[in-house]
Amino acid sequence: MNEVFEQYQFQSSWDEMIDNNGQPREGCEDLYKAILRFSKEEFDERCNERDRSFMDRGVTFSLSGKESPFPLDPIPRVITGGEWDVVERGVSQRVKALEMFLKDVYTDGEITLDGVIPKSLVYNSGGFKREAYGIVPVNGVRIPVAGMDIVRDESGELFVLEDNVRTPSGASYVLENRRAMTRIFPSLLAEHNIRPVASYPLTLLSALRAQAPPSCSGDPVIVVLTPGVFNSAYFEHSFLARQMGVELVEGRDLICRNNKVYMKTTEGETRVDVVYRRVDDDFLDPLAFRPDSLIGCAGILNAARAGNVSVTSAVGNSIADDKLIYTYVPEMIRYYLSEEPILKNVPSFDPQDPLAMEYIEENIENLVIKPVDASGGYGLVIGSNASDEVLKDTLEKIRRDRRGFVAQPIVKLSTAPTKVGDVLEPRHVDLRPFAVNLGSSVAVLPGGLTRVALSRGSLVVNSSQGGGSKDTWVVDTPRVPSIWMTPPSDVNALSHDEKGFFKRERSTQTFSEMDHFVSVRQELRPQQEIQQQSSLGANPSIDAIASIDC
Amino acid sequence: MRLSIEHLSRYRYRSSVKSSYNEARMTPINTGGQLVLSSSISTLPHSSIFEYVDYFGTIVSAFDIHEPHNELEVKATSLVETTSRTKDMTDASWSYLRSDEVTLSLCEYLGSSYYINNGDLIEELACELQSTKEPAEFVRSVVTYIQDNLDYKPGSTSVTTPAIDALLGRAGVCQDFAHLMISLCRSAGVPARYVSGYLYPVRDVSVGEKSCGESHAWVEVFLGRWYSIDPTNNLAIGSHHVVLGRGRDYSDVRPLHGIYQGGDLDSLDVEVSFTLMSL
Amino acid sequence: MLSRIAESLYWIGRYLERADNTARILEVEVQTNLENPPEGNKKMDERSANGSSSSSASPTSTVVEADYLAMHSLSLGHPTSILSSVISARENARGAREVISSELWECLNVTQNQMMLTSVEGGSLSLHQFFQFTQLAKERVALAYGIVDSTMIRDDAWYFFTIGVFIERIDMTVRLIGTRDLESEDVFRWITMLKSCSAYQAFIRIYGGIGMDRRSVLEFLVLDRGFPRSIYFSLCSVGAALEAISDGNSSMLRKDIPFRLLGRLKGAVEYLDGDDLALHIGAHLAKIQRETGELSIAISNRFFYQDEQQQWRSGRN
Repeated sequence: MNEVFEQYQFQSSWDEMIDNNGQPREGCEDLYKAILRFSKEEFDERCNERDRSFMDRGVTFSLSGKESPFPLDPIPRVITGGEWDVVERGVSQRVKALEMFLKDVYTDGEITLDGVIPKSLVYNSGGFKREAYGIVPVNGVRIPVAGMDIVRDESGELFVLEDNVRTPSGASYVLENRRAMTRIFPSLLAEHNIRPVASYPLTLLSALRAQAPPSCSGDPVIVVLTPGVFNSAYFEHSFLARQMGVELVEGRDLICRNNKVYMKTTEGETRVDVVYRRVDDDFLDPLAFRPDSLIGCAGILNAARAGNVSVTSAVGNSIADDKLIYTYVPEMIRYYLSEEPILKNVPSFDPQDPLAMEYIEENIENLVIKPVDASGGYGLVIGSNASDEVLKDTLEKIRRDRRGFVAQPIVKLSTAPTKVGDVLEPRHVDLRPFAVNLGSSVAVLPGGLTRVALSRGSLVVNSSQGGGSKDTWVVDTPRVPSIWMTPPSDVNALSHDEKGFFKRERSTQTFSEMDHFVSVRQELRPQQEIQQQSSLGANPSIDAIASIDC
Repeated sequence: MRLSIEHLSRYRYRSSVKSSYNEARMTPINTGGQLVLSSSISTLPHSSIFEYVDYFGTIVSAFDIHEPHNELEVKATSLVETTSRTKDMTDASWSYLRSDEVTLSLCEYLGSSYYINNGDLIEELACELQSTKEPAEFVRSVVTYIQDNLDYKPGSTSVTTPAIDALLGRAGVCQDFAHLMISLCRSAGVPARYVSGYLYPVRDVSVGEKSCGESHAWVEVFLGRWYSIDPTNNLAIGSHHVVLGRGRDYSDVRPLHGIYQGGDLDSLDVEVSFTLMSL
Repeated sequence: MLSRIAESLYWIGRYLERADNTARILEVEVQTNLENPPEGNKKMDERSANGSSSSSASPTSTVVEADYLAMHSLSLGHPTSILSSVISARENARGAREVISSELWECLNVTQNQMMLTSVEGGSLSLHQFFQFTQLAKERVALAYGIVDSTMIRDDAWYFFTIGVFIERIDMTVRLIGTRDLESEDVFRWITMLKSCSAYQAFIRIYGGIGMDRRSVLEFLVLDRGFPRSIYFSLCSVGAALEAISDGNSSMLRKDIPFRLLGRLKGAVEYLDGDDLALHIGAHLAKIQRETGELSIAISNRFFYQDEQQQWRSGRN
């Protein structure tokens, strides 16, 4: 595919693979060369294989009720180990600060008393759930998983766009993408020293185990609570439950009695200790929240309050996902951790501030307007792409509800070579690393999900808005040839060994051992064995194999 | 005054209810001028009660029932010592009420919520009543306005009626009087909150005598400190009022809130009775 | 295991078996009509091939209409068509993906995708297409069973799947027998049926070609101890699975309604006399079908928490 990069058009954005001189960036050299090596036919064939494999395995994402395969672009996105280490530290730092923030606002609210964050911003936010007051998470963890959105601007600098500490989706696609890539481009992976991702489910499992309530003796019963098969992220819920070896339940499988949660099984009711819920707060408990919810479990909040079950992620994390609260995360880091933020925020304009509002009014065509409480790209207006009418309408909405929106300058997301038809074209990408909070430390999945906006020039990468994804490689140099990742065998041991958590471990099985198994003769049906032997002895001209009736 | 209070709610359903989850806010709290000596809640069918204190400091009794029933009875009893706590309102200035100190720390009692909607009508009215008055004067004129313009008419509104509807319909019950007052106060920038409780209306009663009381709601406004006002009766808040809880509006202190699966509600009887134990 | 998942597995079993048997029943009908065309229906093949869903010709005949075939094999609107059954099986599998093997999931996915490709214009199917389709259905179901057999742990999930398969098989075998004129002594018709459920060779081995008559065919399909499609064999399989689910706890089993219903039916079938069976075949089949239906309901009540999903009402203040 020598020609694929010839038509590669550079834009003002930073490109993840190619620098301004048309040369591969650091870490991408081998990948670049490998892409050139492929013949077009070969490449297309592999891509077809990928499509089939995804559809047949049912790796899908529901878009308004329709199952569609989550599109995986064949060209991986490469991040150097050195840069990744910074991301990892930055993400951990934010998770720690956000945990302290949540604990604070659901107890004494010192950060507001000290005037670091205006009290009204927290307590008048729809994301602040008074129902969560008094629910104490078992090991202090309210954010078992954070899936931050990180973008790179024209200068190459990384920014955090959103923290997503409620129920971020996408980790399963990271694993499925890697799995597909190893099948389709084995040699490409073997040539690189890529940090492995396979142990994510076990890491999550140990985080969930650590949340078992003290009353739970023995092995905690953990469940993943899903809204059901029609939820857009159902594949992920099912995937995680399977990979962790726990039950995937729907609200109707659970019942609360006397502040204890049980699941309905064929043997009767089984007590549940930890609920990793992927159901939003508003639907989680019809007693506390929306009574019309059919996907929740009535009484589960009080069961958590009574300490009989851990419901995680914690109820009320939505306050930390409020897009105006987000603007204070750097302050939180300074306030709680006495550290400087490692990753920057995208600057934001709060319409409640008259000066900022004035700026928004005058520059709306250069801004992104986001509702403070939405996720998944819903309700987002990009000033440069919107019609005058939409902009006017949006401004009117902001004026009516100044607390309801936040404005940010349009970040020209970086691009990465993406297969479009027969050629590679630059497409905008972001990055969603997944951080698992184990209580004592935060483990960050190396790479995470690179989402790509498949239409030219589009800046919206959300999968719910029709985006695709790329396998994301955190590549270390020097290259170590071909070692394979095996997930740690003992989950209990994992929680003690956080340091080397997602690090590489050598396979214990060697090739010589495998040779041994191969060389052991396969058993045959006795009669045939005799036939075989006799035929060999009596008449060597007869092909022994042919006489075996397979 | 020492009062023994019994609050009985009886729900009858047209057909059997399979299961229900409930939260009762029917336990008086210890607060200025009120000391709770004992309290208990029981239900029929029986259930075990889980008690916790919510965000607003109200005592919540949660219970769930899983046996089929056609009738649910919730009985809350308590023994409460009350004293008079009427205080004349001091005059806090508007500039103080508008300072960051007040607007930030009491932001929750200045904003809007389901029942409290500061629409144009409310704002105009608040503006009119406010004119040049000092805050305490303003608050008094709000009470007068509500007394003059709202008829106390049981059944004219429901528990879900927002303040603005009561104003337009010019009638309501104590909940509507309270919500309208809160709306007007907040609109003018006076922090205001909703109080749920009981009223012991009888004046001359002898010790040991049992009499009817009622569930009641009134308002507290902040003028440098919290002052209680009863916009329904224009009564001074004294030993005849018993506090169950406070919140931004009714939705924060619903006496009994729950969900159930099964038949339609046929009837609901609520009885509150007081026995004066000692003066 | 979760009741909802158990129910899903039960229904995966039922739907797969239904898809397979529906294909077989349709084949019997078509085959019989092809071999013994009623008067005036020689043209059926052509008509079907032309894709015209003619309702004008021979209203009294038992001819297998092309649109009838399409409806029962491919129609999405028809809940028990082969395709609908496969889709239902997959939908149930979708909600139980953590329990079934990923190979089974893949197999069901591929089956559905392949069947969807056989889309029919105008809602009818040529006989050639029809046989291709039923062949595909039978092969894919066989593949699914093979995968279940070799990939699923023999735990409750597998037992519920098995119960689903065999309950459905009893019901469908009754229907399969019912597609024939029950009193017909025409041996060739019975041979066609035996063939359709892959029972011909097994039958010949046990009864020999000479003993072939209506009575012996019925006896074989209902009472045979070793033929895996016979009703008695199916009842035994359900029983074994029920027993395994209850860990063979016999004292508990006696109080168990499904087990009691099953025992009663199994006993009644086991000691059935061949002559009596042949004489009152209609009544016996009806009884078997009815009691199997009761058994299915009892199993649902016992294991699947049959309380309907109800909306919560918030009614207090």
